[in-house]
Amino acid sequence: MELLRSLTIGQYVPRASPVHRLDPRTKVLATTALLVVVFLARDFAGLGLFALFLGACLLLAQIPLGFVLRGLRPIWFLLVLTLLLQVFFGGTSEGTVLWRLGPFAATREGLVQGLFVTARLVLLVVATSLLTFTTSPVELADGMERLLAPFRRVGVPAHELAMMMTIALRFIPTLVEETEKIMKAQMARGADLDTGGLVRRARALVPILVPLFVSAFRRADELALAMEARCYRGGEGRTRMKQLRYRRSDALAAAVVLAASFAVLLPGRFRW
Amino acid sequence: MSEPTALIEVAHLTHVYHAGTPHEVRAVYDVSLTIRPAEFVALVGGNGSGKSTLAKHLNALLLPTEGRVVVDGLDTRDPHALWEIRRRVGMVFQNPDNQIVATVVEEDVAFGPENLGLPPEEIARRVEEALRAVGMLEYRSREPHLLSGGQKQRVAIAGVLAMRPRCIVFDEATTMLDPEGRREVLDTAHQLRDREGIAVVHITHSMEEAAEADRVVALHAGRVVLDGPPREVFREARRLREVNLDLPEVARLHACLVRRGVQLETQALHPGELADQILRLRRAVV
Amino acid sequence: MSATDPVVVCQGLTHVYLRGTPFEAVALRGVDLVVGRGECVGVAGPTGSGKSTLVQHFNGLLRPTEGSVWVDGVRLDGRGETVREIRRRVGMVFQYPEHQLFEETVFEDVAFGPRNLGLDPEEVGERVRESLRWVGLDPDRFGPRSPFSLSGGEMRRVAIAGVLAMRPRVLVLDEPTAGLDPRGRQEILEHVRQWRRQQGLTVVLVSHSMDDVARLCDRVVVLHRGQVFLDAPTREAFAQADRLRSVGLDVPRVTDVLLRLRAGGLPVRTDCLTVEEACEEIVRALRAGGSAWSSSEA
Repeated sequence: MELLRSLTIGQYVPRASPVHRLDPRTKVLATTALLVVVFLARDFAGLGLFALFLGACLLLAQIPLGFVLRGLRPIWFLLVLTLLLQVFFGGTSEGTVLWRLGPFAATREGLVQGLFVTARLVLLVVATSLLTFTTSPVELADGMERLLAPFRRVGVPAHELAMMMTIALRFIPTLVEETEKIMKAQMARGADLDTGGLVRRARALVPILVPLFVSAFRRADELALAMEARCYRGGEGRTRMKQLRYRRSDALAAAVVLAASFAVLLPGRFRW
Repeated sequence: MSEPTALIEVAHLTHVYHAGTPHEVRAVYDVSLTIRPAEFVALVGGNGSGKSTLAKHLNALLLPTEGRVVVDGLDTRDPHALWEIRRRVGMVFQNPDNQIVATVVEEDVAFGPENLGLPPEEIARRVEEALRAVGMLEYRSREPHLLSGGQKQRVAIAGVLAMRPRCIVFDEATTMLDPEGRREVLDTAHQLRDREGIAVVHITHSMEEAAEADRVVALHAGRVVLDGPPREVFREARRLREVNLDLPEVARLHACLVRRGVQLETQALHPGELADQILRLRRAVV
Repeated sequence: MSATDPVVVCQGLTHVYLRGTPFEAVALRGVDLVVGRGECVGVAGPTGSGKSTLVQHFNGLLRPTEGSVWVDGVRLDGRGETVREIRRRVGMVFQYPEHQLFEETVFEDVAFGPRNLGLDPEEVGERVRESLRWVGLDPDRFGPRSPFSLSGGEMRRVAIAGVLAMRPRVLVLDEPTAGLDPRGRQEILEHVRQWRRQQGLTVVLVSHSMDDVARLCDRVVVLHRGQVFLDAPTREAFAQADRLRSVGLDVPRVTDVLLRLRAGGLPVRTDCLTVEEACEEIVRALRAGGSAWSSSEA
């Protein structure tokens, strides 16, 4: 609990790197493009180039390798599962069998396929992590708001969404602290949150969740009043102190991403 | 009594919650009050005295059931004046957490000016000014949840200050703070009044805090029962006790000594004052 | 008073948050403390001095990083059964306890604690009614109501009743008067005094209000940066105004007046805690000095 409170939410690693300094819109668009690219890649060479490109970005962004690996920890199970599924069920039944385990046959094709799919997954996660490592949640919210702003005309509530996100981010540490306090208060009254099966434990959460929700609603009420007292009336006519500006580095970054995408996707790249 | 120099004028204000339903509650009844520019007014009362309800009329968060509230010439009932009123009368609330909107201090202070649609450079300038005025400039890039209660309240004050108000209402803004935080907030409020001429309405149930104001208004059951300079109001010990309020501790000690026959001057509200008065007695003999 | 029958003993208690991470913080450093049965001990100190951390060791919510904590002769070693038993005996009321209410009726919420103790429904009912009466709420009127329909002060009393219903022998109160108006504050303190008398409770009061501590406690332990700065009977503690001020605490205002008088040459005791006491003392000193004041003796 305390660890959660001390870290800002997400994986943002504050550094003064060129990647950090990029406009968040550039980074969001670039990441989206890269995610598409990684799905379109057809061969290991492509994935390899992609990995090299990501590696270079991480280096430039001064993100230590340890962080990246730690980011993969939550999904290691998924990776292993994917690999195993592909190995045993990925290849065709006529493929070269490497090993038998009862009715299951591990084929060479399956292995190749498995490694490919798993590698792609890993690169997917690392690419998105790159975004969250180098862009603070607030910047992300800002960037998304500006990107979606033109769509306001077709009914996308860009401002409201961004406001919701910033307020949620602002209150997460506060609510975590409150949850801890409520838990302690109920434990002091003999509540047991650790024993019992799923149902019992779920029921034991009621004395935590009800007060938390009640408190959250009260906060929302008070916050709304405070916002109105400071003349908040929605997004109409609002200006922003922080201005997002595209710079040369953004254009450069866009060019680099484009080039990398070509390198990854272009078939027969090594033949000329 | 309509003084041309009144900043806020409350005339025969009555506020009824849930009017016409079985839950009807009359929180404020026939209250008339004037706040002058650069005045420091303490509004005291026990729980349920109506002080918080009254406070919310000063910036049009609530509208009168009967009576009128005029802020700097603008009537709170006028829907077109609403935002200008809220710019001129800012409010700092009781819970330090539940008024901070942004994840970074300076962005929260910018919230108000952003709502006013000011140009970005102007907003940045005001944010810096405001943070400096409350002594929180070095915390500009911090995350609010890491601050102490007193610091959070000062950030809230800065957020209001950045809108260049003529009056700031502190709605029990010191109630949830520890002694250090209370001191921080009070000192800031006094400084803003002294240096910038901003009127302050300080709602509190601490008589010690009230003693530092120019004027004390005591509420009970929705009505004004006392209204005057602290020394005058604190002379009415019996009346105050009738309405579940009391004198500041030093004043009580003073009153106790006077009852025991010690010939002290009229009143003492601060420890130093009382000590001096007593010591002067001794020196008269020596 | 304390050495004879200790109910809580801390020896070399050290608590470090987030050890081994870059956010490591030492909250308590080698704290030695003894709370005697029936005592009322105030734990005072500026914000961040470790007061809340300290008392959360008394009912096993926190475990020492180093050192030991003993409650009623049993060492708290983190084992489940010891901890459960301790929570029966050491009740804790947190700051703004009304924020922990969750049940549909006041009765159900106060019953939460006794039910967790595994008591039978009859006993639970009895305890709920008794506890509500102890906090000054009529069980018939308030029992069936939703806790969220009550006033702030009433909600707080329900929350405290919920803790009292566990029939603890030691009651720890963390800033019980926070956010209350003077009348509310007086009522709570008066209640605590009553419970002490009627049930022989040992009370630990965590507060940064020296006035509350002065009014209620026999003894004060002042913490500063996680260490025990001062541990003395209340009167003695308040007589050391300079030391208290050096760690950011203050003395009650009447004590402040007495200190100034003494500095100005009037020989008064400075350990008075209430207005009446201070008044008496000043009158006595003035009389002894033969100064010119009204001849009418009171």
